[in-house]
Amino acid sequence: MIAPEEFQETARRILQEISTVIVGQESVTRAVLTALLGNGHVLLEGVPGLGKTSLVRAFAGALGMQFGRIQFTPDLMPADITGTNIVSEDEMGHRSLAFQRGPVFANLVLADEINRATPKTQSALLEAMQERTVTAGTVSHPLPEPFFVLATQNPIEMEGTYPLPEAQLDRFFFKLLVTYPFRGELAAIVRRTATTDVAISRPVAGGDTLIAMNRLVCEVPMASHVLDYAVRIVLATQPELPGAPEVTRKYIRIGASPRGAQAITLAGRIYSLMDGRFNLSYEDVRTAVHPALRHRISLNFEAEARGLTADSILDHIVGAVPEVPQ
Amino acid sequence: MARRLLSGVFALRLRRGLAIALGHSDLAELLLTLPRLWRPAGGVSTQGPLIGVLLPFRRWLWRQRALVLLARATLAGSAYLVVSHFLLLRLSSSVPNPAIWAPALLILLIGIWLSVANRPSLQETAYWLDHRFDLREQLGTALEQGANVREGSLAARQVGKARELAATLPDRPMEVRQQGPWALAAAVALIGVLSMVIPGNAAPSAEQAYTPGPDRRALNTASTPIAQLTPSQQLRPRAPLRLPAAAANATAIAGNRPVATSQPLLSSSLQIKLGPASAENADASGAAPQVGNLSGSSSKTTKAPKQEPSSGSSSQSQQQSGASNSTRPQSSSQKGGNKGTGQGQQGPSNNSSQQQQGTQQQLDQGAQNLPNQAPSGSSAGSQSSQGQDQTQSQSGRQSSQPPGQQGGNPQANPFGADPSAPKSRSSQPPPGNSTKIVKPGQSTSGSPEQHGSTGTQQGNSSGSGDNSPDGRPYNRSGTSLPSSPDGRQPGSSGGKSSGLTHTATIQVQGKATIGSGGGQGPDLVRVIPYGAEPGEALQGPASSGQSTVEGYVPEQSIILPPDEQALVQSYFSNGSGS
Repeated sequence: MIAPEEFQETARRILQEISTVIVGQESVTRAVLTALLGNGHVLLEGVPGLGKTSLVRAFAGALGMQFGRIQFTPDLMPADITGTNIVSEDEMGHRSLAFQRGPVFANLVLADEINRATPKTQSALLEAMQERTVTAGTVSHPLPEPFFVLATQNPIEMEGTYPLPEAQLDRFFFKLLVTYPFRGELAAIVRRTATTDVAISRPVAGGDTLIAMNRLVCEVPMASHVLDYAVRIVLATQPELPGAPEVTRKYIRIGASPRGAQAITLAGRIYSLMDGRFNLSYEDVRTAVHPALRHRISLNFEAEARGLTADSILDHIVGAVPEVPQ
Repeated sequence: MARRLLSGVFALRLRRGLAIALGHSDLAELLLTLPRLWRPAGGVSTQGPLIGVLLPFRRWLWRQRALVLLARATLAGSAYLVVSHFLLLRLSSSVPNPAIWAPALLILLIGIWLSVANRPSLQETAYWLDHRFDLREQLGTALEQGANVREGSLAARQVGKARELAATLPDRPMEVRQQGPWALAAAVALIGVLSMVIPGNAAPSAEQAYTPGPDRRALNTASTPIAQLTPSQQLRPRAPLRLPAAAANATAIAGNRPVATSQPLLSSSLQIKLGPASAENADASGAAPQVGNLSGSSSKTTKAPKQEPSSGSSSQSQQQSGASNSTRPQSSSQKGGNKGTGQGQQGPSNNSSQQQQGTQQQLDQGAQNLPNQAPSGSSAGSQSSQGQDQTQSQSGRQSSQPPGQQGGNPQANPFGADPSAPKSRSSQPPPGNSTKIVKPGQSTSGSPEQHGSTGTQQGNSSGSGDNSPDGRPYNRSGTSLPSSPDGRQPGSSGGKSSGLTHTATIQVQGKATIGSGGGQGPDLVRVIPYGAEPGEALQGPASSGQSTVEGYVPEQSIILPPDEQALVQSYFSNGSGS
């Protein structure tokens, strides 16, 4: 098992390598690494041109993992993602069905503009993301370890797109919002891309390292009262539960699933290890709330009419849930 | 309920309440609000390496919390002492001292109990230290790991790191400034204790409430012997007075011979309201000043709004209670009672101007001239028998008796009224809030032959010997009236008491004494206002026809309450008064 210090050092080196390619976006980069260390998938949302695809490519290069890219289009079929059985003929002329692997068979899969595919095609990733297998006919084909899906979607130009269903969204460990770069960052981006030399990340860690780091994360102890705090936050997103905050009852249609609590605690423990601590803290929980829950709560019409976002509602919920129950 | 009890919700709420009580200060941090409901899944090991580190902090936290709670409890108890003391002073209540001390002591005991019982747990201590020093829950997490951590595991490393952190913490994690709360608590406690122990400021006990210093001194210096009431008065059945024993003792008459509560000796001729002799009390609390109502007593006011359920059957008890409506405050514009009552007079009262006179004038006139009102008093009494009265008195019931059966004793009257007094004088309504209007005719005393009353609208025929507790009829103010048609009560030997001998009603802030005159002279009534010297006493013959009332009577003692004004006004407006 990897040592905590090695964990911290490896994470630092990965982030440093990513920064050679991606200008700024430290919080997003850190969150992506957190999701990968938690063996989770990431949904990146941002307007075009912010470097979402580049970020995924940078991670694939820094981690030295097999990279697969799927451009989601409306005519994309599930078999185009997962693969399909095809009839093959051997040298003897015998024909047989053979499974042709799709692009999902990779360690790091980029599902670019995932909301442009039909729900049927989107659903092709359900099994792969959760169970890390692909079933074709009666045969299940395991995906390589580690397996991560980093999907991107565009919040604008929603015409002709298909919003991801809740079941699909729930399978993403984090949903990260890629924001517009600041002035200095934008200048650095222009300066860096103005040359013919394209920055490419070098591998600083491998898949096995990520697996070892993930196992270490699972050993990070959690205090009961801190765990209770995370659970209460997740329960506070359930509008039907008694004692839910007013903002929840008023604006949330569907609350977060248990996967939300799992993601919060797991991400919090990764944060603590990256900070050189060995325990989950309240602050770690609060840091993980927004990326872990913003896509797991469904707002109702009133919230949308008022222009409320999931993050603003989560802010209210976090403020309404005390560390110690009253 | 049981579930909530078992789960500790109430304990949690209690702790929350304590936290609120501490306010938003640094001290509030000492009140931990870690939920009682929360417990580690596997329980907290008492053998963990972190236990020894946390124990000193827990003791410190417990001690500081206890001190804070104790200071607050002391402050609360002392504040209660002070507040209750001053409230009782204002109300002149006869609440015994245990009723004052007991709640304060209870508050203190509760504070001590909370201080001792509210011991922080190790989890609370770890939580507090984590929060205080921003340790990111390292101590709390390590405490849960206990001693059964695998060597070399991440949990073991976490415990070791937390122990190192705890070792670096200062011995006193927080500088608690408790001088402020303790100083405040000590100051308030000192004030409270001093207010209770200083005699002058002591909360009035039952006895003290009725025997203020100046009055007692006046009583002690009174030289007039106790009046010997007639046997007929003593033999009359009478409802026992609801006066506290201390109050009865306070009305001890000259010679320092206390009058027992159950004995109507004093009340037969004297009504004394006991209470603080201050205008504030009369205005605010409704408690009348000490009023000596030299009138026929035991008249029971049946006017509903003016009665209190706990009041005794006699007006005397009501008045002495200091809380009855009959002792409600009065305004200076109504002083003398005559003014208010005179406004509505339509009858033969040609003395409205006299009714507007002040106290002294009323005393002088009302007392001295009452004996001269006998001739007109009969007619007035007959008029009053038409019944406008809203009160009912025992004298009224007595008045229904034949005149010959009246057992009143004119000697018992505080001021002998001159039957020959002008009618106009007799029309002066009895001042003061102790006025008890007895409708001569309506309230069992309607027989015209029972009038014998004066212009004071003593419509009672003064003849009912059975129903009168003292065997004497009453005027509307409760003053005993002559029981016989000629104005003389049976057995009375005093002077010119025919019809108008006992109609004077005065209210003073002081103590009244009744002197027999040594058997040689007429009985005397001496009223010494509070704060006055014995030489300034009001004095007059108790039963003789010549009442000589002199001295000073505070103005507020003769103010008639509004409702009684209306009563008197109604009485006079119906032509009963003169």
